[in-house]
Amino acid sequence: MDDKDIVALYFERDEAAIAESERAYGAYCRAIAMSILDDPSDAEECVNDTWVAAWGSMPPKRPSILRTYLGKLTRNVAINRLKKRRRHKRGGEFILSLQELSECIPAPEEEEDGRLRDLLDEFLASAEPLDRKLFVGRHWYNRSVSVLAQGYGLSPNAVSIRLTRMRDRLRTFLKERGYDL
Amino acid sequence: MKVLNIATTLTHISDMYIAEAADMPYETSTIPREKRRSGFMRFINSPAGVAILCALVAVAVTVGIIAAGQAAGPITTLPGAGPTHPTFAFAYEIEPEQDTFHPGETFTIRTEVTNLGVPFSISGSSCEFSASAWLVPHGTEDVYDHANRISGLFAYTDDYVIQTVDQGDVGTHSGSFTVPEDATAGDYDLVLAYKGEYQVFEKALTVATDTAEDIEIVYLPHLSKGKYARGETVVLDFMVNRFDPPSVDSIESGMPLRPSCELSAVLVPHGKDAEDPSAIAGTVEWDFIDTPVISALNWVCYSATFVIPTGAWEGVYDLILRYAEEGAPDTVTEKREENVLTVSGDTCVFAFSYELEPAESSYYPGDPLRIITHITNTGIPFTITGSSQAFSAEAKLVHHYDPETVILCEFSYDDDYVTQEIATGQTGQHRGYLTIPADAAVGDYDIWLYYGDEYQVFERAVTVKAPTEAST
Repeated sequence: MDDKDIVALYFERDEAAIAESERAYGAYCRAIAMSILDDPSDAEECVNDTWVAAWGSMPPKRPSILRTYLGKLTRNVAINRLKKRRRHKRGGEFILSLQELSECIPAPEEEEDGRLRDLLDEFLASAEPLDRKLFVGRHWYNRSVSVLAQGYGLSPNAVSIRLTRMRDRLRTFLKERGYDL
Repeated sequence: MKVLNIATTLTHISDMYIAEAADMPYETSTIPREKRRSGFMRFINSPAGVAILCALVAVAVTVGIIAAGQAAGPITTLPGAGPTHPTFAFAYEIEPEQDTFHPGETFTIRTEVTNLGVPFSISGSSCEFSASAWLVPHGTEDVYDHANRISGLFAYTDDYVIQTVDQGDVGTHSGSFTVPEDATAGDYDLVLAYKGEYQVFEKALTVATDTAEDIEIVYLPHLSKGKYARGETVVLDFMVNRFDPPSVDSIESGMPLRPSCELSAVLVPHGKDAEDPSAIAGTVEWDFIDTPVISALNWVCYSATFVIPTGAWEGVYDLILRYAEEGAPDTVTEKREENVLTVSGDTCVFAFSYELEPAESSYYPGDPLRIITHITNTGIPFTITGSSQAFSAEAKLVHHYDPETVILCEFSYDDDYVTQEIATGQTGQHRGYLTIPADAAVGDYDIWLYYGDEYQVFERAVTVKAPTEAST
């Protein structure tokens, strides 16, 4: 069953949509949830919440790429869960990645900053494909430098340098557009 | 935490970039693939393993059965929703190994999926090649049955990898399942699924909601003298095998909750009922639960304390135990244990002696030692209930100058519980084993022989010498 068929099930209010989503993208969403929450049972609950969110949002939404749509839902749910956690329970690769990012992106006052998001898209569009993949891999999928190095056949040092340069460029890019960093 | 808003904003970047970075071109696990596999998987991945596995599966298919751990019923293979890969074989195990579970009870299902078709690649967590599992009421046509199905909690690692699944590769996974409080009683089919293929294992387990018949009371015979004088305090132990589903609180605290039940314990003259004027009421206290909180069927241990009144009837007493669910006095379960103890104006007197094997006066750390205990009833006859070795003394070594240093002796008892009359002059013998610990304090030890509340100390009966003394 392809994405289009699964989305159609959501629109028909057929609960098989959830089973099909689980089958097609359950592991993908779990990996995202785990990368943020670092706890299998939390991640599992997060994925369950993702299906609820998907059920509630389709219709009216009709995502063009179901995989990334569900991934975004998972990431949102996971971040919200993380916010509710006690401070001492936070940790893992996600927090490390976020700390790196906080040096080049201002923390928005609102939960989501639409202008900043658009600028991030603009910045990523201007980046070299490999740098962009490394950046998204590090800060969206929360992969460690060593995992990225193996995944792209680079040395960890090369990945670190590329990521650092990307963040430096992003800081300059945002400063030029009026952000105070 | 405003910094988390960065993450939320980043979440909504273009799908194009997220999809682009979803998969990486190379294997990412830092652990060599071969090392991540079990010995079984390495074998099964070898040419010989594949050949053997395929032969075995062919035989299994021929006879219509695919080995499935403990499949409780015939296996039905239903057409999948358009499999993207050739045939898979599914199998499972349920732990604990029991057929019936109750609401609130937790169990584990270990799934196994074997690729019998062509090799293929997948990306995802390291557990990507694993079957998912859920339970649906037996006979349900919709194998998904979201309204009534029992789903499990499968943990996936965050080890995001690209895997090649070869022919003969076996993916295993395990998930924790909890029977919902509102689950419908009856048989359930287990569905194992992977990539559009699934298999239904009929009547894999039963959900039972009737718990009354699960109550079982077992008296724990006292390995003591069994004869008490007026004014003495007697503590008797018993256990109740009761249905006690773990609650959220108990799971979070990691400790079982105090059972909610009403228990009574009464000593009555042999053959009399609990309302007899000579009955002695006891105070029942919850002692402990000896099984982990994840199990719903718990052996809950209790102790009943009796103070023998000054005007107590002399003779043999029975013990009556009554159990009722809290607030449900009509659901009483009663247990009567006969000849539990004797009340007498006289107290028993015992004579103790022992033998050592090997019969040395000095031992070294690491030396094995057997203590054969002898006990003789020099008092009046009495009745005890216990194993056939219930009339036997126990022993321990206590450092002569440091009473805190104790070496216990291990006695094993057979489990054929009997009621015995111990006559005057009767002797009981038992053999206990111990090994002088490697770090045992050197010096003289006293041997304590004891039975119930009575004991005798044999001072400086054993000497433990330092290992260096042995070598010299």
